[in-house]
Amino acid sequence: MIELKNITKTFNPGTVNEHKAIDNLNLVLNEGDFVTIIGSNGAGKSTLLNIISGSIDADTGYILLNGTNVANLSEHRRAPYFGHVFQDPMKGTATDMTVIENLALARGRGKKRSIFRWSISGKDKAYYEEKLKSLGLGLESRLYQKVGLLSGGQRQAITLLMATISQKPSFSQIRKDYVKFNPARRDEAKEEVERVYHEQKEIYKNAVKEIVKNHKLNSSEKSHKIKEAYKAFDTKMREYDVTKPVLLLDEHTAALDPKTAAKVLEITERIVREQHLTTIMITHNMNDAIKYGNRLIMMSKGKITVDVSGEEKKKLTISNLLDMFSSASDNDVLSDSAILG
Amino acid sequence: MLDFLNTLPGALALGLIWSVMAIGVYITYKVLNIADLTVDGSFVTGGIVAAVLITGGMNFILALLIATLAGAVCGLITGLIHTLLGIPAILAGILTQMALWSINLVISSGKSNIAVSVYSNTVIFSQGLVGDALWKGALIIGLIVAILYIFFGTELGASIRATGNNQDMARAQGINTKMNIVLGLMISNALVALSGALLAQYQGFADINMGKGAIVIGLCAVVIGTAIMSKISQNFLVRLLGCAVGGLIYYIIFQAVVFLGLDTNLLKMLAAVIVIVFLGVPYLQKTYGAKIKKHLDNRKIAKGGDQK
Repeated sequence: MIELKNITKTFNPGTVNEHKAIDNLNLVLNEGDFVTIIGSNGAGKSTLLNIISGSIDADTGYILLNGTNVANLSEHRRAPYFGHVFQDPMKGTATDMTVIENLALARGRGKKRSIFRWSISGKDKAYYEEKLKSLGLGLESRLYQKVGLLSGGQRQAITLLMATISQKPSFSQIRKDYVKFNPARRDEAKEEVERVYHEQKEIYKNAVKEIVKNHKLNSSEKSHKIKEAYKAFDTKMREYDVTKPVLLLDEHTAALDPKTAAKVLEITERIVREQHLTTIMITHNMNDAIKYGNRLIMMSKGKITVDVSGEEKKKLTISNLLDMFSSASDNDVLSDSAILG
Repeated sequence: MLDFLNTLPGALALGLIWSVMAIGVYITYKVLNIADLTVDGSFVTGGIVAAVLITGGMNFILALLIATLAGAVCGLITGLIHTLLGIPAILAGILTQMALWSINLVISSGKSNIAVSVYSNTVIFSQGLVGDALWKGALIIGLIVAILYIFFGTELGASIRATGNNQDMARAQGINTKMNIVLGLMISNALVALSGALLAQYQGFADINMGKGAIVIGLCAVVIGTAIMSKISQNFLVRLLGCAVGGLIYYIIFQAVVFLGLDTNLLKMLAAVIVIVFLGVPYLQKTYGAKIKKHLDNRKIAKGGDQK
């Protein structure tokens, strides 16, 4: 769960160019929410995303991630908890490095970059190939090519992958983080996660014993069954993984042609669905804003003016969205609808 | 002609020594994407520290190590001025270079020139024995290239490359870009100081002015090396070796020009012109090449000549 409290940001304060980008904004996102944000240029959408990711510091306010304030962490310290995809395809990848090197950089997010480990090890190759294959763009055969040689759409797809593949934390890391991110009930949380861990470990151990004893199975069946048992253990522990990245998409398809944009959006939707990621997506396309996600937010002059979710959102159409838009921002109706229409 | 060939080994030895500094320049200029001007100062620091220590009776290997560390400190200072105080990297480098002028004089106790005589001191190599200098220089280059190649393949090294490539991306991937810039500057200046320390021993003296224009010579080697080696491969190892090749070629050109009787006072200008040509021509090709080609094609078509 991510909670924004009283966020304010003014650019160039005290000068003629003073501009209040975010005006005392409050927002609560539940686990697994997929929010689309629309609003005219200068409404503060990108600023909001940059404040969450840490590339801009807010003047006031808190950003609570599962109850822990992250607003004072610098951008790179916050990176493990957020996956940021920018509008500009050039911004999300290191163009002089190969596809696999980029993915490896992303996978090490939140971990100390060691001088004693190779950035890419041989056994990771299969993992990256599989991940690239899931994009369905044929990129798995271009693992060792420089990212600079890829098209904008391909790069955005890779950036999307990079934003969502941070390495699975170890069980001990999960337990530690779970306690850290439940500061209000620290002891209780610790007890809970430790209890579940030991219970599951016991279940797994017993299952392995059973499988090994079972003479009816041949060795390949045995190893298969053991893998399954471990997967169950793993899945159960992943439920306590509070640091799953929140995906921040800043008009990530705006610079692409319509066909590629649709493809990238489709990939986005699939990744979000499969990993149950909490997601914020800025878009200028009203159709997309309606089609994707379970919640829609409209921003105007640094404030949230419309916030619809669930059934209500499903019934939205472009025309009543436009109506909402004009009633929400009464002064510059014409320019806004001209931009958005 | 024979005279020229006789001077070649000496030129190659100098080329190898300067190649060490070219590799250092490569790390800031190409990997980190920063033009670092500290090198004019840290090169001298390396030379003077080594000269003071060796004439003081220290073992030359230890002296080389300490000179290298002194260079790393110079890089650290520039890095901190740049990242903590937000002063642009190029200016931070100039400021450190400026300060190093005084610091170098303090280290040499006010002497602007320290002789490192081969008769009274044990040194790694000297210009009296060029063959000796050649294989030792080649070995040092080989070691440095190998270490750097391994280093930039590790997680930390890859994160430094990403920092130079795209800072936005690096930060979004949780990389501490400021720390990496400082680290890169330290490695770079350490190599530059090592180069200075080697040169002081080779030529038999360290001079407060020996670093003047060092950055241009380093850049010269880097641009020549990259221009040649990038045709062969884009591999990082090849590119590092390219710096060494660039250093060698620079000194061969240098020697040839001297041999042809050019006024040695003009050599610095020559170095600057080489850098300008190597950096400028690709730019001109990119911006105007297509236009000129189109223009010529149009002329051909207009003349009705080449319409197959």
